Amino acid sequence: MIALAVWTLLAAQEAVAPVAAFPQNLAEWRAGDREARWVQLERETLARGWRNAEAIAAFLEAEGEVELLEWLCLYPRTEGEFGRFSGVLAKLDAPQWARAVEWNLRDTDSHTFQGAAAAFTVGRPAPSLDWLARYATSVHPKAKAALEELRAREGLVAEDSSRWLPPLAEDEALAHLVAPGEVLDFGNARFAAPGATYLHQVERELRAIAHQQLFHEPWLGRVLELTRHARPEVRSFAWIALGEAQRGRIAPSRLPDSALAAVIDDASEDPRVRRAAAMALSQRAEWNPRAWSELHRLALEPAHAAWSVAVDRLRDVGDEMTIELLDELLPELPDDAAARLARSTVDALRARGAIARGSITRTLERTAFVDLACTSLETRRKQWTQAQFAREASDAGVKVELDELASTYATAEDLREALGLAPQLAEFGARVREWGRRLADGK
Amino acid sequence: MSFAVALAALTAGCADGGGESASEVLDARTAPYIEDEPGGRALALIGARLERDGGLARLHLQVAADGACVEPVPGFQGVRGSNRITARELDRLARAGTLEVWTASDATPETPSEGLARIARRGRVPERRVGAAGELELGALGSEELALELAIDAGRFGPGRYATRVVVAGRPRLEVRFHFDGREGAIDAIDPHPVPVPEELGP
Repeated sequence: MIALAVWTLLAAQEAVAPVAAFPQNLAEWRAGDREARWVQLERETLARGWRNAEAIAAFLEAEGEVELLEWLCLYPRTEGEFGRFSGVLAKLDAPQWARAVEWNLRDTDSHTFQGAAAAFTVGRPAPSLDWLARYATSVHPKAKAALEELRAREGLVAEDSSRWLPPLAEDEALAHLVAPGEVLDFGNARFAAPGATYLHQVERELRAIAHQQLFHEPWLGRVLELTRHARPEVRSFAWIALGEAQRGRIAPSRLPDSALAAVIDDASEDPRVRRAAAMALSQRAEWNPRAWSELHRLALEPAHAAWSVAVDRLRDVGDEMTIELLDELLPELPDDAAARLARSTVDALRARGAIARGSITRTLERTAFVDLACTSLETRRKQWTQAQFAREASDAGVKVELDELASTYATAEDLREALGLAPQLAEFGARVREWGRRLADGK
Repeated sequence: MSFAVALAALTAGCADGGGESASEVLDARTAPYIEDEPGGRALALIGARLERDGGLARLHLQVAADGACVEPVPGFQGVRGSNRITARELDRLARAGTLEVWTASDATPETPSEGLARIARRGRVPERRVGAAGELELGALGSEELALELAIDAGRFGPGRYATRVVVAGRPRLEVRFHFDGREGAIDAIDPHPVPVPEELGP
């Protein structure tokens, strides 16, 4: 099964990539241009994560590779090692230091943006005061806050920072996302061709979009455009990036669930892209009952290209009903790998027990959705909901919560917008309240 | 004693590794470690176990980056049940030696005693990945071997009421309160966000 080809649940057997000297081949490193060296760094972090971060930092410091150090700050894989690499930039007094720090104030990971703020206010306060004042009108609001903090510091005297580069413009940091046209593989080339755009460049900048949550225009439009790019790899990376948008970052009208579902179900689309779109949709499943329902639909179709993504993600967002459904599905699964995946999700959900269900509100939003939308889960979900709450009938706390839900539930604005695109869901809020009342009354 | 020193002592076999044989569990609790931000997520699982060891009480704590309630790092890579950043933090603490454990009795808060912490379990955190050709890899493990669990031995204590604080870089990050009357005892509270550490609890 294609969908399972890259699924490697038996991770305990996965070998740890050994720590190796970096770079493994110094002659090769020095033979290429900056882009070729970056590709070596990408391969290293893809294979070993940040296990070699210390060796990488020491090597880049010794080589004076300030541009690559900056890129490691701008385009990290996972949460990256901003503190380490910006520290080397500071040690080298690189002109890129301040703008790399300023860029990371946008990051959504608190370790990163707090570390960036501290780099200005604690690490190098005197020249930072000068630099932040020079560019006060163009820096990020968190940089302005750092500037105010430094200005208020008694006795702090600004030091000249004219050697430092001005703040990075988004256009500059994300240049390869602007109408990239043909996207090439860098392969084992030693030099980038003038004017060419490479796949790894698009990928790294999409990572930055996700890290910094740059889902405003023009970037959102550009990423959406990339979901229609000629290369499936680009489309896949674009969907992955879009999936990383936190709740509220993308208006439902700009990227409706139906647009994702269309890609997921497009049999003519590359399976990688369909799976990436399923991953993107699944990121909404925690709060969006339609996405949650779609994951279950996919999970009940073992032949679907996105089946394994759906089952894997249900370990994060499924509930006790998911356990029942997957348990029933197990005998029908086509091979051992599929059965292992389904079993691992069931086991994870069982381990979480009632935690998996989450709040009563969320449970009834999901029930109300499948009820109103008449999805394939409708009958099952309604029966499950009634049985579930019948078991909890003696719990006074549950009764209080149901009563409150029945009288006060209001659909969140973004959820209403997301669901309101379908006419039959106009009564969604009323249906949630109705379910609350019905269950509170023991019906 | 810093965490690093304590760790070294344990590694060298100098620490008290015994005490398990004659002990009786008086109370055991777990609690999620919730981040102190709006909509706080469970970043770790805290375990606390109070034992009677002869005529004394002994408190053991575990801080785990994995557990059924632990929520992952936001984004497609994180798998519920573990948190990669927590594991990296535990690993960093182990290396930096900035974690300390102090227990003070309510009767004599000015003379706290220091506990020991060690890495009890290392491993790789489950994750999802995207490969260079845009293909998703599910059910993978992170490349780095990180600290998944810290085990803390707060020490042995006579009758009284106590607060054990885990302090990182001078900032209290966890407080466990317990009492012991010489025979019986219980854990009263596991508080991931205690008030700032009183000066007297500092080293």
